[in-house]
Amino acid sequence: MTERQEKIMRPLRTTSREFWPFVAALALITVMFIYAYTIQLSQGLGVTGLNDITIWGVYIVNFIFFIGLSHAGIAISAAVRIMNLHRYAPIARMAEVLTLASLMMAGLSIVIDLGRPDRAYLLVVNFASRIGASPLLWDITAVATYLILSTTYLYLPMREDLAVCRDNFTGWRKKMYEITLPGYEAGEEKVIKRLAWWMAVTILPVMVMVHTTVSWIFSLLSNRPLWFGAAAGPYFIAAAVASGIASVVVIAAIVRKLFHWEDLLPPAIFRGLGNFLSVITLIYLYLMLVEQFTARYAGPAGELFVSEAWLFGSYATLFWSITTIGLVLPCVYLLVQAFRPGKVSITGTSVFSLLIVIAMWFKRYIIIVPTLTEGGSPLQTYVPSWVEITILGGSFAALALIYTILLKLIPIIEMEEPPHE
Amino acid sequence: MSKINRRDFVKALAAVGVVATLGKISGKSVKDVTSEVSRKSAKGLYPAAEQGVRYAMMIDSGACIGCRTCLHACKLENNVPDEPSNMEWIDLFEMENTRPVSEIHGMPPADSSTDYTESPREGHWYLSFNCFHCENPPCTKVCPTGATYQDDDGLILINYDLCIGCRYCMAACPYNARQFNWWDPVYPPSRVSPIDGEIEPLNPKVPLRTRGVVEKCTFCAHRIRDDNPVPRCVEVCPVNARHFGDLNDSESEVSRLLETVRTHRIKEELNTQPMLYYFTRGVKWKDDGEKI
Amino acid sequence: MSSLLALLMDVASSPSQASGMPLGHIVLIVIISPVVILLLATLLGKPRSMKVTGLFLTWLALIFCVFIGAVYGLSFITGLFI
Repeated sequence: MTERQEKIMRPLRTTSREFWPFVAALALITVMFIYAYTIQLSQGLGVTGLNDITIWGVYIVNFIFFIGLSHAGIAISAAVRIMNLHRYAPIARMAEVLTLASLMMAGLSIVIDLGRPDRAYLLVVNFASRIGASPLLWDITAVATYLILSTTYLYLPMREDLAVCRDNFTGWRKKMYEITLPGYEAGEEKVIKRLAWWMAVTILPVMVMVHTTVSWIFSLLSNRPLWFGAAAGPYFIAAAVASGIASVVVIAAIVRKLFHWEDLLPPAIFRGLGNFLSVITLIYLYLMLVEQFTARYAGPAGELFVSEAWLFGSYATLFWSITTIGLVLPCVYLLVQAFRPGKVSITGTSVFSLLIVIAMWFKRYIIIVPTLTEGGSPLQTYVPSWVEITILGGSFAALALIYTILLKLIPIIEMEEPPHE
Repeated sequence: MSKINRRDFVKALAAVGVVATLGKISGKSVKDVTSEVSRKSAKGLYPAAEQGVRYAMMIDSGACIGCRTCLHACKLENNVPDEPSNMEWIDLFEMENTRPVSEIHGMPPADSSTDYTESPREGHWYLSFNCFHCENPPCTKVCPTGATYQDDDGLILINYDLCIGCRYCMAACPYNARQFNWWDPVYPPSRVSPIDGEIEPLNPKVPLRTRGVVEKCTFCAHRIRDDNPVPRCVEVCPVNARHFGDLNDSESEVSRLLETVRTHRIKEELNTQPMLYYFTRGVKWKDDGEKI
Repeated sequence: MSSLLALLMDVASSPSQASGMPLGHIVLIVIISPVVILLLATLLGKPRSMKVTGLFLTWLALIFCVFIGAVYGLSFITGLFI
């Protein structure tokens, strides 16, 4: 067992004092989340702030947001495998685990939004007759395909590292690793590597289709101002990749500090991710500018009304604060860092990445809600209820809980030494 | 990293080609297949559709006095719940004569109210909205389970047993014509009619709904497919502002109206081809209730 | 030339037209094609091993069943409360 392997396995072996209270807090919030949902299940969706005009709100925003987060996994893994950017190999698995956990929460968010979740199985039963027409089903197909491939992509290359764990642990842990390794033989890595390369190549277009189909749910409705449009695909994908990569930066910074992995996750990784984030955020700001410009110059009444609401009306405070503090400021910081050689501030990069993640949640809110409340008639207001807020917070707690538990069970960094550059 | 094998690539293309051909061989259009499935499973909810008819409704918005009789009669006829939250399948908007109606492509202006207490008021006219039963409906396309479908006579109906309450059809409808059961609807065995104070029982011909499903105007499918020629709202209008009939029948009232008066529809540029036409013959209203 | 156009029209119909391939089938093909290519690469490329291929396909099938099972499971669990 090498020193590197020992370091990577340390979280699996030892548990710090702060771990249990942290998990307890997450579990408590998750329990509140479940409680709020049972209230909604027993009384109906009327416990939310939704109405016949504002038909979608926090739950759908959550759904889009979590799908966005899930784009981190394959984006980074593909970069590593296909473009041989081995520098980022240490964070690839972290990103893939995030993909898995956030896709689970995305699926849950959709079910929570249904009026009759007890009939969700009808989506499977009537799939063949409806797949030709309904964008919702296209989205479910893409997400399911992405989920299945991503999980496989996480598991297969991890077998090598699970075998190392199996050999270095005893008792129930050893048994657990043994169960995950049916048919493992030492020489399989070569085959799996080739397979993993092909998986990376094929998951990339699936990932593009995932967020394209998500955007189509909204952008194929000709009556909805600022939803309907052709550029929704790239718009949504840019937001997804930005929020996904930013989340990975935050997670990497946290585990680096927690587990003292300073040499396993060198600053160069954060510099590289920060550079990429600065570009993708810039692209997103450009897309926002083009969209608003179109709506204001020649917009029909509906487009103009919604654009007014975003920029100067009831959503202006939210819009401008997240655009400046959550997108422009991080973009500027990361661009400056990109051009200035020398030390990179990991704390700075991760704080501004966190701002991007938070801004992206609220940006999705601004995409979904004003079109409904201001884009038609009559005007409506929407105030999320305590049930929605609890479920929102609980979904993040549940995500963190799943991630924390997985951190304790599987090695989150690839044990193979990255080739020296 | 292995090189991309040319043989693999060609084989992959062939596989895709096979799938595509299979898709084309199936031949049937999506509209046929999905409506078939929906119609089969909705058997029993509504009487069977008549073939070869195209139902349309015409509303004389100049004659309408905004009395809401149609709204209340519809509620009683179709068991539309008052509790726990009041639901209405027909919306009546009070519009000002001087404001343009086409602010948002013909929809009522964003600050329109349905809460007026007195009508008719000088300088105002009244716009009645319900489901338009479009010929090219945007709502039935997007339903993921096939719960809402277009029937043979043009009616857009909902199979309440298949609806999962995703509300995608509500997002797709340009006219806000659909309502959602946010709570468990309360169906008392009888209600007092706001029109004439009579006690009206629950209508056994109209299926009851549950929480979490979408509902809307059905052009009274249970009436027009049975022995009644018109929906309830058309029957009760005191100024005869509502008209209904079969556009395939050249002798019907709506066909003749379509030929003689200038009609318009809401948001026509969206290509929904709605079957609810609006017109006015310039006569405001008659105080003595005389039919026009 | 016109027969090529006719073929194109057949493929790219809209959901409201009564002819041609539904748009959703095109989307399905676009989503599934990479998976088909992946399966072919697994089965035909070198180095390959029956064991890994079998493991791969079993795992895919397993997660697929878990996904469908989750949909049914969630339907059942939420149904207990409604």
